[in-house]
Amino acid sequence: MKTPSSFRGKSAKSPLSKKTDSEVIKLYLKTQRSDYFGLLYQRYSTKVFSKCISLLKDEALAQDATQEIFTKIFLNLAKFSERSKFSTWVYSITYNYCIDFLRKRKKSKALFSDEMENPPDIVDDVPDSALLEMEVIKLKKVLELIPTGDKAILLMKYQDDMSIKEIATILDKSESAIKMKIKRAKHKAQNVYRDIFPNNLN
Amino acid sequence: MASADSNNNNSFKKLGELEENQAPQPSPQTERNVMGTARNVGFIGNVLELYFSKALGMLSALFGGTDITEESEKAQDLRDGSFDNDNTIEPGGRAN
Repeated sequence: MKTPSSFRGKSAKSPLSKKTDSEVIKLYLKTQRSDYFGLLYQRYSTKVFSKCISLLKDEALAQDATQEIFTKIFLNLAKFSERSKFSTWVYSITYNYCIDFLRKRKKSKALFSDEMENPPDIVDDVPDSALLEMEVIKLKKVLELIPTGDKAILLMKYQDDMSIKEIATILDKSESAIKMKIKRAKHKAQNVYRDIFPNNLN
Repeated sequence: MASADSNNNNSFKKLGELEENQAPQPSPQTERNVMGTARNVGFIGNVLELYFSKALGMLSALFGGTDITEESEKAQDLRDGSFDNDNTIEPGGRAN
């Protein structure tokens, strides 16, 4: 993993770097020393930034988003209950921030397939393997072409292994609504794939 | 972190790794701002923790109440059996 500028070089040798996220959080809450929070920033900033670029599609916006997200993480660190992994909690704040931001900016445009005026009927369920075994470059292209909300929900489920319940909490929807959103997002992704790669059987 | 096995069968995870490796770093300015907020909030928290209770006690005394900290110090003295401020008892406990 890449490391931010001020931590580069020294953290890898530090005994602190061997500590788990949970241990670092406890140390931070006990001592309030900012270098413990710095270590969490070092571990997750690149991933958060990369997710922000992927969802917001603008590097400057992603910089601002990363700063806001880490400020939120810092201010809410004492509330982190360890019911989920720290990484899941960090990514849930990231998705939440980006989806909120896009909702505010694209008031007229649907963020998810099922929010469109006439969402298509879904007859068959798309098997997970159809997406999980797609060539990486093709998957990247497909994800760029589906609505951003659909992309986010597929990344939450298949990239970050979030449960339906966790996704439902992030998007403030019922679990059945999330299952439907995932179903529609998979369907949308498969249709886009068939459109842009018509000669492929995958 | 996902295991290597699950990554091999999951294009989403491979894509995540690819994008993370290709993505630029967040700018040093972003890092400075985040860490600046962390330091400032930590500092303010420490100041509040140290002085807020004293300030509350002073305000309370100013408006005619009893200084809570003074009261609690007295209560602690009583629990500890220390009577340093009590000049009605002779040293050594001898009565006049």
